[in-house]
Amino acid sequence: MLEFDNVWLPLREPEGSGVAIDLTLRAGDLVLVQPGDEQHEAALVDAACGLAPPGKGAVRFLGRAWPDLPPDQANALRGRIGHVFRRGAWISYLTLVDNVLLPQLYHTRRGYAELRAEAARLAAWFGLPGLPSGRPGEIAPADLQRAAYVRAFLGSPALIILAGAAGNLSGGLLSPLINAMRAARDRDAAILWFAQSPDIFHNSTIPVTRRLRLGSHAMEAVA
Amino acid sequence: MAGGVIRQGLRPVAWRRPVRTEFLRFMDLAGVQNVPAVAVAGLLVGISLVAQALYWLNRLGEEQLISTVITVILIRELAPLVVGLLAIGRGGLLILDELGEMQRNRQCRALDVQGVDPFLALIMPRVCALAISVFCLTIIFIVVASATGYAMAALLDVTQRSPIEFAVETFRMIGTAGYVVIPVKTLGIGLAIGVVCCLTAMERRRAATPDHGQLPTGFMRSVLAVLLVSGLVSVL
Repeated sequence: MLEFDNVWLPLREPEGSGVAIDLTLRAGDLVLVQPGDEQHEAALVDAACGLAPPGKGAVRFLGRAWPDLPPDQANALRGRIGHVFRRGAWISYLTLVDNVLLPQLYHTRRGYAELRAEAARLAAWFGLPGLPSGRPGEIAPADLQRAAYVRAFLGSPALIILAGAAGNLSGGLLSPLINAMRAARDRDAAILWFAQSPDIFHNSTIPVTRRLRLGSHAMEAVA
Repeated sequence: MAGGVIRQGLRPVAWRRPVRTEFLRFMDLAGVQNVPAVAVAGLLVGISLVAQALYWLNRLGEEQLISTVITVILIRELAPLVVGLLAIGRGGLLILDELGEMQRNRQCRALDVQGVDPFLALIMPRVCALAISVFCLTIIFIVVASATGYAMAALLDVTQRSPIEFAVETFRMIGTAGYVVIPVKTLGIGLAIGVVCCLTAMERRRAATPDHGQLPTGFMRSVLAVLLVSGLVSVL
């Protein structure tokens, strides 16, 4: 699904530093990563999505190396990845519904009503009575967080990257998230979850395939 | 960037649903919502232009040139310039504000990682909408200003022609070159404002905090771009 093949990933700080990563996510895997800090997390996400080429090695998604793909195809492939962002990344002038549906409307030809119905089903799954129709600035942070999960799981993505989700799993959100991840894994999606908080990283109720920590020089497995 | 906008704008595959939605939203913001301001400007320019032309041509003893001067100055020079300046206020500054905020909040990066090309989703539809808006608004401006000018001239008893004769004479005086100059100049001005504002907003990529200098910088650059495009097309 996603493969970091003998990758050396340069990091901005400290200057000239980097980490070695050799990681393979297979269909149905859930890998929990403790990234160290936000910048390392962003560097890893960018590399996974082919936006930042690694210093050495190759990153492949669905068997294809990012640099080999023309821009249109690379973007289409990125459309197969669902994301939860650390800062929400909501476009302020669009309604929350339009924000949630945007990637699917861009990448697919699925009808608006069909997408909206799937989003409403996912919203109910994550504890929302429906997708709020207001703009992101008018929505409570807890509802925005739930809507972020709806956007990530919408359209049956092949890979789901959860960034910055760890600190916001209050209010009984962990259980529906685990259930949604289980359903996604059952249909062979892989999940890469960046968990900064030790409570989440070591949480034994999360059925992970592996736990990894981004060390100062390499990505290390954690027992 | 202007080349990229034109190239992508001509590719049907680039006009996906969110791109079309963004184009229509911006046509409404920069075009439809700008109609009242353009109409008022046309009204005021129509009145003042006729008064000025009457005064100066009368002093020079060239009263017979009045309709030619008004038509050429108004249609080829003044209309695209005035509408361009109004488009900066309504469309250009909106681009600076929205795209600047998206840069600060890393929303462009978020679109990138989702495979949504920010150039196609944010820049291309805005610039295209602004260019088409400026063209359409210029036509509205010309119609309002010409009609006002004719009404003023009729009121002051300067013209003896009927409204239909006036309209036919105006269309004739625009000439073949005029019919080329108006779309080229107005589309060029809209394109220039859009590109300048998008580029200025994109400069915020490196800024982590709001940069209040971007709005005046973008405004100043846009005004210069409008004058440059207008002057270049007139000279050519």
